[in-house]
Amino acid sequence: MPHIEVLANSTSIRAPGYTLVPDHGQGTVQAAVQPTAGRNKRGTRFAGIAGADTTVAQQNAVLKHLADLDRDSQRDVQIAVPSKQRDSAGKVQKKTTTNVRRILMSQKTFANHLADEEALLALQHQHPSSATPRVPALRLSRSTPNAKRSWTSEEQSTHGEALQTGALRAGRNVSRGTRDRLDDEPLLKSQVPSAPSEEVMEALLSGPPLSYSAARAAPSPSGKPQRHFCEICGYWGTIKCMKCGTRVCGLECKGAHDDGRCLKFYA
Amino acid sequence: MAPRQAKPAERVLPNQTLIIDNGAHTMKAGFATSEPSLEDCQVIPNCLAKDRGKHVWIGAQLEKCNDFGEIAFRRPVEKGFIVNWEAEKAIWDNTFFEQNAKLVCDPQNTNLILTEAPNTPTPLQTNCDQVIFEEYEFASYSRSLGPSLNAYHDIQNLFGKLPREHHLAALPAECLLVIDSGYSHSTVTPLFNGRPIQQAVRRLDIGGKLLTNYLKELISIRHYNMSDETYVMNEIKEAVCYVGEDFRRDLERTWKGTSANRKKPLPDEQDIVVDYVLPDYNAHKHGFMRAHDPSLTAKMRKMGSMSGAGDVVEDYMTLGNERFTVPELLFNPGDVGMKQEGLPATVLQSLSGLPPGLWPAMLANILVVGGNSRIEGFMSRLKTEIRQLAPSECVVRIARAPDPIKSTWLGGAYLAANPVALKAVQVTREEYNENGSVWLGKVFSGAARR
Repeated sequence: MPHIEVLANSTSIRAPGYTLVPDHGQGTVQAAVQPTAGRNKRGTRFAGIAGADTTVAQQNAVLKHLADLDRDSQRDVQIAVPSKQRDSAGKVQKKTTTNVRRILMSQKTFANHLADEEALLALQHQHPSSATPRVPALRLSRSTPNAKRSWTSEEQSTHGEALQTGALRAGRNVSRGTRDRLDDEPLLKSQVPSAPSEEVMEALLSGPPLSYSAARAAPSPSGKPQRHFCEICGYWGTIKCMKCGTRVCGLECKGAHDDGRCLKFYA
Repeated sequence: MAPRQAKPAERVLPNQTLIIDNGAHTMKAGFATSEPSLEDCQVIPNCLAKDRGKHVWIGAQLEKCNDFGEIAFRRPVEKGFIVNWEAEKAIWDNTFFEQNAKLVCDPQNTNLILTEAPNTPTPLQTNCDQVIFEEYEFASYSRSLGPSLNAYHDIQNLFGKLPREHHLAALPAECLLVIDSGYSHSTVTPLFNGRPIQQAVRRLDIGGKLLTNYLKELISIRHYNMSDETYVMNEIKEAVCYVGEDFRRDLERTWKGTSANRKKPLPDEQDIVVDYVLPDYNAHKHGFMRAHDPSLTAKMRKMGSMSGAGDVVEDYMTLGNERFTVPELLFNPGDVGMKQEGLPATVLQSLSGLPPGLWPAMLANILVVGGNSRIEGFMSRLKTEIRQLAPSECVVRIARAPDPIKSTWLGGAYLAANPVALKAVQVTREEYNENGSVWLGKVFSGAARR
């Protein structure tokens, strides 16, 4: 049975003056924000794969937790630049240009900038003609890193003297003239493919940077099950609280959880 | 190579070069010398901080601060990018441009080398360029990817080879894979001749800040509420956290046992469980770690029962599995539900964007920089896991920079020590005034040539 999961990606960011909501296709955002009433019932909530956090509500809780972990300070503090500092910037006050004034006045956060970038990319996606090409000239096969022994025998046979090429020199450090006589032994011959040509390298180097979201590391393809830990003591979280779904390790920690940390009074 | 259109004779750079590695947590700044050394680099907190008494400290002023209780920070750099120039300007003014500033300089007679994190959104780059040239009016400026400056180090020397010869000094390393695990995130950047291969840059959204916050959360549940004590938590993290070779074994060893059958502490458990004595700002005492003393726990409980008796008791907490479950996130982000692979797999993801012919050279030249690499056990675990994932034919060599925090700055200092190399990357203010900021953005991204 295929495992279908709804990725909760409801990022609506409020900026002074406007709100940006990246909308990918139809209805996905809405589905992520408002789970239907039936899905929240306990029977369906735990009906999925055992041990997997399946409901949207739980995924949103995880996202919220991650956002909390990413904060600089727990409270919302406003720290204004001290005015004494602002006035006497050391040198004679000169006129600031319009650009600089706009930049200094800007109260945008990184989340705003990120939403801007995503909105721009989505726009380029819809109207590819007006967009600047973000795809590099050279498309590399993004094979999974685990397909490690995919080098063909053809590549290996052409290997030969390619050992001496520039890129390998850095790795093996043979440039200092200390080439071992054992390097010529057929059994010890290295199995590495040859270094790419200069044109390939130039194409690679001139490729434009990826967008912020595209550069994010991908999730594991093998789908390693998530490990859960006891909220109270940090040991393996083998049992789930029936009310709120938090993981604990045993009865003792379950008691501590019920006393102070269980967020749902009525299941 | 295309012929250069600008006449090199026209571009004369001043002698003074300022290098700023502008991180989210600290700013590494200093002037270049002909013999670059780490002593020239100042590490300055890149923040405005407000303490309990509502006093606001700016950047380097924090050195004089004694009370870090409930201190709150405002950081102009988010995720490695300068987002809020209002606050950043206050810190820069305080550091570089006020009369008795630490690194006082006259921007009109100074070259600036500034670093940026990979994958910066274009508007932020433009903002940065405009502030540098229009507000500060630096004589010349280059904005380069932070990790790429590390290519100017003597990499082979780090792997146990002889120091390079002097005439090679300014040549960047041919192939280098830089893992930069800093405050906001950990990035993997492959470099070829000192130039980043942008399509293969990957980022894991776990950095020192997230680790500190996670430790703070765990301790707030298990010990005291520390939600306002980020500064203290960071010190605790730096003092106690370690990356274990065998996570499961360590977790079993720190298990308290069931209530009916309380486990007796094993002799090797003593290595893991420690006490951390919290700082006492009234007595100007710093916090510190010491071996766990079970008898002390009983004593403390007793003293708590007869409250107020005797003199002031030091406050401490006992830390067990928090010590290794926190930095474990770098290797298993799934433990907090983050849908990303760990740092070793991120390295392999980055390599998958490169032709296989480059893999051996990249895997044999991995340099680790950034504060997280100082966590005990981090390097050996990283090496073990990359070795397991990488093709068996490839040699895996991995080294930590001698000073992982100042490493990027030092790389920039090596670049600045060579006038020819410096001239090749810098853009002067005249050029900017003539060509504008769009052109400048293209030059720094490599899309336009001068």
